[in-house]
Amino acid sequence: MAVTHAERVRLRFVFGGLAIVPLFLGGWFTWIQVLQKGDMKRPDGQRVALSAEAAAVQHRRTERLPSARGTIKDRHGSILAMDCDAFEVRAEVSTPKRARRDCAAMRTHFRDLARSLADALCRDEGLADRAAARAEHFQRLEKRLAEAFAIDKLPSAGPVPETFFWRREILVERGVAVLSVIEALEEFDRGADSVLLHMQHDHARVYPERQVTYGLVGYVEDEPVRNAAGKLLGFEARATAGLESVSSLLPGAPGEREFRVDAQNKRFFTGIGHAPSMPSLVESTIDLELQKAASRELERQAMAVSENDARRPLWGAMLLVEIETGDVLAAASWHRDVKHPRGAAFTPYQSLYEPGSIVKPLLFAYAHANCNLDWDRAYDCSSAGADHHCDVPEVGGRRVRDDHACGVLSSHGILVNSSNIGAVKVGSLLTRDDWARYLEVYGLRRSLELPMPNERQGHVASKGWLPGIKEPAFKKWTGSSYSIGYEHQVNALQMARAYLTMLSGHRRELRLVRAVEVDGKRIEQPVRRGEREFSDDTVQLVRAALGDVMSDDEGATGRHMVAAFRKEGTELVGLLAGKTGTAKSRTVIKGKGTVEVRNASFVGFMPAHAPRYLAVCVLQRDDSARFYGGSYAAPPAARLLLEAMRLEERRRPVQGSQVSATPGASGRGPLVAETGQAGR
Amino acid sequence: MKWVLCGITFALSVVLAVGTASYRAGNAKLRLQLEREYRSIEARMIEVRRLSLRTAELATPERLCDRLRDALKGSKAPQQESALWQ
Repeated sequence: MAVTHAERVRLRFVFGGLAIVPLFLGGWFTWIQVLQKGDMKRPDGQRVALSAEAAAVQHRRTERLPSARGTIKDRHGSILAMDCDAFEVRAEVSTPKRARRDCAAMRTHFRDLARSLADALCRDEGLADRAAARAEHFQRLEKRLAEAFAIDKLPSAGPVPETFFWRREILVERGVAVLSVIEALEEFDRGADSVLLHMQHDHARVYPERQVTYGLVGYVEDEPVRNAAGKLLGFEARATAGLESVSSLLPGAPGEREFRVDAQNKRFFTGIGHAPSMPSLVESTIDLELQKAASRELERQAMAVSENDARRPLWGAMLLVEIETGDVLAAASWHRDVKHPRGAAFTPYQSLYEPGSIVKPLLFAYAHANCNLDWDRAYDCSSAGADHHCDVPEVGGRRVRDDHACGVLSSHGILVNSSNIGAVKVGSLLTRDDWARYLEVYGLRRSLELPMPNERQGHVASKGWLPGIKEPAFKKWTGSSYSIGYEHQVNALQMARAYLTMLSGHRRELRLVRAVEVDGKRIEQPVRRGEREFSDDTVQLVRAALGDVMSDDEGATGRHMVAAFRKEGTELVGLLAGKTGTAKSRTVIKGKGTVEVRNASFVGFMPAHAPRYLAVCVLQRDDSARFYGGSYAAPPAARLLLEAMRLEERRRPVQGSQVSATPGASGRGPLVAETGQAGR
Repeated sequence: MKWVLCGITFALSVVLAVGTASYRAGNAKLRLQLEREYRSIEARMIEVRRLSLRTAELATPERLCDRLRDALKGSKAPQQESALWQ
């Protein structure tokens, strides 16, 4: 087929015209992307490199996947604290043209924006009072927008000044983890033309059973992190109390994920990136069930002291320790005047008190082991007058008072009757050096070295230890005061450690963390057992005396409680052993100055003949009314010990419980009959 | 003839360019969808973890006891009636 000249011209014209299009595009591209590349204004003033990488950077984004803070579990795996995945929502807010007309329109725009965001945040169906939550969110967001854009500085009417901020970023909410809220925020993001929401990965700290673990587990506070110019960069979790301060809980290396964005900030998938490191695990010694029981019993007892709130104890502490390992199974704290447990002292660790008579078994064990105390020797503990006083010649005639007339008693009898006169006479066997060692052996001045901050360590009154004080004067005043639990202050956990040492015959330490797991590697915390201090004979003698404290014997300080429990159907004789303490002292209370206080305390262990659990209970009352350890501190401790025994029986595997359920075979006394349905 | 071949080549290159662009656009659309799916799965995983923790919290012995007590309160009257009948 021959092509005519005219056709050829037409074809050339058409293809020539078509060829102009790519030539024009090529030229334009060269002008914009190559020749003018250095003239584009960049925030950092740098020229854009003519490379594919420079182009890729424009649409590449990276999101940080923060690692979770470690989890705290109780000894049976129940969670006490853990990080839950959540989003931190930030909004990049710009002002649309319609709002720039005048100041009134601008204010209305921000109010509507705050309202829309508040609506989205209230989509949580689990909210108890949605209207209140919405109002709260609205108020907060309106305030944040006002601060970010300096809306307060806007004129009341007229055009918006040129100096007004046109784009700002605000924090909308942290810890957003509810699906309906996330979806509502995403829907808002898709519909809003002047707001760009950034959902950044975050974690929300969760504490199941919070009310009973405040002081023990502690808490984490979000502290703002700012740069040198004072600009808020974000928040950093900082633990200031309880087990939360264990360093192994700190988050590990964060992960990272890349994605792409287009000019409208739409996100495009490029991969899942690399995950953050696994959170660590701290396995505490706490038994959540016993912790709840301890909190419940302590609160019930504190409330039962008086119907009048002002006459209730000022504070209370109760704890339970496993004797074999020194594990703290429960540590409950109670306060009268504190509105929120977060700000309150954790009493077992931070409240000091003069222990009173509960130190007598410690003294007698020490004197028997180190100062030739003859256990069978009879001491004349008779007293005179209505206040049962006696000027004890062994300590230079210091006047000591008893609660009741005692007569002649052996060491066993002194402990059972809790005779102060007898205790001072036994205490006179200790020299000043002996007393220093006594305090050292029981750790009454030593830190507990538990992984918790802000411990208030026990201490002694320094006056008695001044170099100028002679031995007789020390014995008369300081030594005799120590013998009956005065002139030194301890916290409840220190007292538990002292009894742990006495009952096991070795220097012992308490344990609050059983194991730590970091990067899949488990590190067990060893049971700390020091050198031997007391022979089995010494321990046996003291233990037998403490068993008789909880008997029907005339003068036994625990006899009223034994009778009260018997009425309720529980026989404590032979099952519970312990020592009651009642001390009168003075303490400084914020806002009240120095006031007289009464400390009711009790240390008990169970079973009496082969102790497995040790409980300490202290209640401090700030008035002069009679407040005995046997009546107020002992019952909740006894109930907690009984609960521990019941729980142990219930948790025992079925086969084990069948064996122990044979009457008389388990050696567990009256509890065996009660727990016949073991293994449930 | 050579002009025809030129035209066909041009048309092919245009088809190739449009095809590549549409392929890339389809790819980008898929990436967009994938990202949305990814975000939505992520949100659901967060929700599952939150709900499982909440369920565990609600199933403590004390709360289960309370619920059992409430349930028994409701069934107390019929039980008494049946006891009388027996």
